[in-house]
Amino acid sequence: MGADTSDDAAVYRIDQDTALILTVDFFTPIVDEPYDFGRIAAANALSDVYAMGGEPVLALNILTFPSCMDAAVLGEILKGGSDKMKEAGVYIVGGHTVDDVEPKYGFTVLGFVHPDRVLTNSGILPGDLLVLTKPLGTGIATTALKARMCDPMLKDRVVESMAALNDVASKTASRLGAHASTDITGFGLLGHSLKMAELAHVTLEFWLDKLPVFGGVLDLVKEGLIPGGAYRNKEYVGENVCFGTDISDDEKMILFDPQTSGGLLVAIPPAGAEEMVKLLPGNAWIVGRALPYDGTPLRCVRLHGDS
Amino acid sequence: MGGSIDGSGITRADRQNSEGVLMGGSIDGSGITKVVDARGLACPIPVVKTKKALEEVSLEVSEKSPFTLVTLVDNDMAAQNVSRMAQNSGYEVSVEKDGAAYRVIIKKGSEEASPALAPGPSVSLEAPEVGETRKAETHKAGTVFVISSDTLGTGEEELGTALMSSFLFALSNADNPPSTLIFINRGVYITTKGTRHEEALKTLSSKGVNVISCGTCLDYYHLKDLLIFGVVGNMYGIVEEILSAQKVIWI
Repeated sequence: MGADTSDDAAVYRIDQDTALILTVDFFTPIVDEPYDFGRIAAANALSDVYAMGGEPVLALNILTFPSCMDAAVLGEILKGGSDKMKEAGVYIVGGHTVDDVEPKYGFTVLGFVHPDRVLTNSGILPGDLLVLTKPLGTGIATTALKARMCDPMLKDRVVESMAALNDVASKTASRLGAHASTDITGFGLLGHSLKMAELAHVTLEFWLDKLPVFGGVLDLVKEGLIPGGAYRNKEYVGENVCFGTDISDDEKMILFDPQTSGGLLVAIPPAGAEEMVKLLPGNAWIVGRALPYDGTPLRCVRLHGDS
Repeated sequence: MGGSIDGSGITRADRQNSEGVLMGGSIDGSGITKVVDARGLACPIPVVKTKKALEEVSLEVSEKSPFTLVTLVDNDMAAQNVSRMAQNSGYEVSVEKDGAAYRVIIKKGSEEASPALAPGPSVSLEAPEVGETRKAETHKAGTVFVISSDTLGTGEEELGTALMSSFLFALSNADNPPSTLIFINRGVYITTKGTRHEEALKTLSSKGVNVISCGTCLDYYHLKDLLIFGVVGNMYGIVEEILSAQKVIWI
């Protein structure tokens, strides 16, 4: 897989039955609790492998840490990371730590995939339905967290979602014949979708009233708690999206919200999509469809409850 | 606008507190002006500082006085976030770009009455319409009921439902109705489709009673799309409503 399709990870074919997937991801703390930060960093790094339909096998820690900070905090971060890797069946076989003013944590992850079953972000076909496997709003919620304005109930739900693995979603999508998949992260739902729509030369239509959003996130948007990344994503997508006239500016910002360890966006024929939602209740939602390219890569409309 | 902001920039400040909030000392026809300098601060701090300053200035000035708050930020995103917050709180907002800086000008005082969840009532001195003023004052000084269940009292559900019905009916006929009803937890079953108390809620709404339902609770019980009375509120709005009430009655 070359760099030109901007896929989530590098894929290297070894033989007819085996390809390697290699990826790296690390970031600064997004929650105060070091253990949660560790779990989320691991789930986030693994997600690139899952997005390609692969099975992660080995990981290396990447850590920066201020030497003046309490070593117990360091221990908690590493424990969060290692517990999450264990859950995924991945061995941490080493790593590297550097002294820095701010902690940063993440992983290099190595995985395997059958070369014929690689899920890229370019294979969408008109007629596919779009399935999303985590609710939107983590960027807005973590911004509110920094402002000490995030409801504790919302915080718990967002942390658990960011720490959740995309493993089952990936396996299910792969088995049910998905055509394409990507994990929703920094570019937000519409940023990542734009890439997929352009690569496949299709129009992706999202149904606003079917999109899962963490409860309370729209209120936070109204309080102005929107991360800078959301505005950058909005600029990046620009004229490539066409919104229904009944969609408010506040609602649009949720679609541009950068996600940390977000869900997979999977393009899959309708029967597979319905099966996926049935198999993953509360963890998969049909949020739109792929149409033949009509001049606009992305559309967002409100269905008003039907379908 | 009086002389608080001139062509060159910001009013001379008389004092600066530890939060970096500058307070204009003079009170002229346009009310006082306060400045929050949030340049160089990362998101979401400009919003937090502006929100705090709005709360402070609402307490400092008499509720009838207009005021202007100016937040200085150094990027467009912060300007948009601060504007969004202030607009959604019922203030009049404009943004001026001045070189690398943005001035977000937040005004209370001239046109609209403030919405239910705004930090303070918006009553103008310049256009003193008696009816408007009285309404806003009643709201500020009013009684707030927090209704946390769809039944009244502890005991058999059937009795509790009947008692709630009778209670809301009596409340809707009271000479001195409450200013706000806040519905939390199972209370949101009263404001949504399928409610047994439609008539009483209709009467209360028609008397100008604010009806607020807790958004988290509507989500939890999957009732968000079924709300038929009043507005959805978050916990911040609800707390603000409770704190600014003269009397809070918990049911």
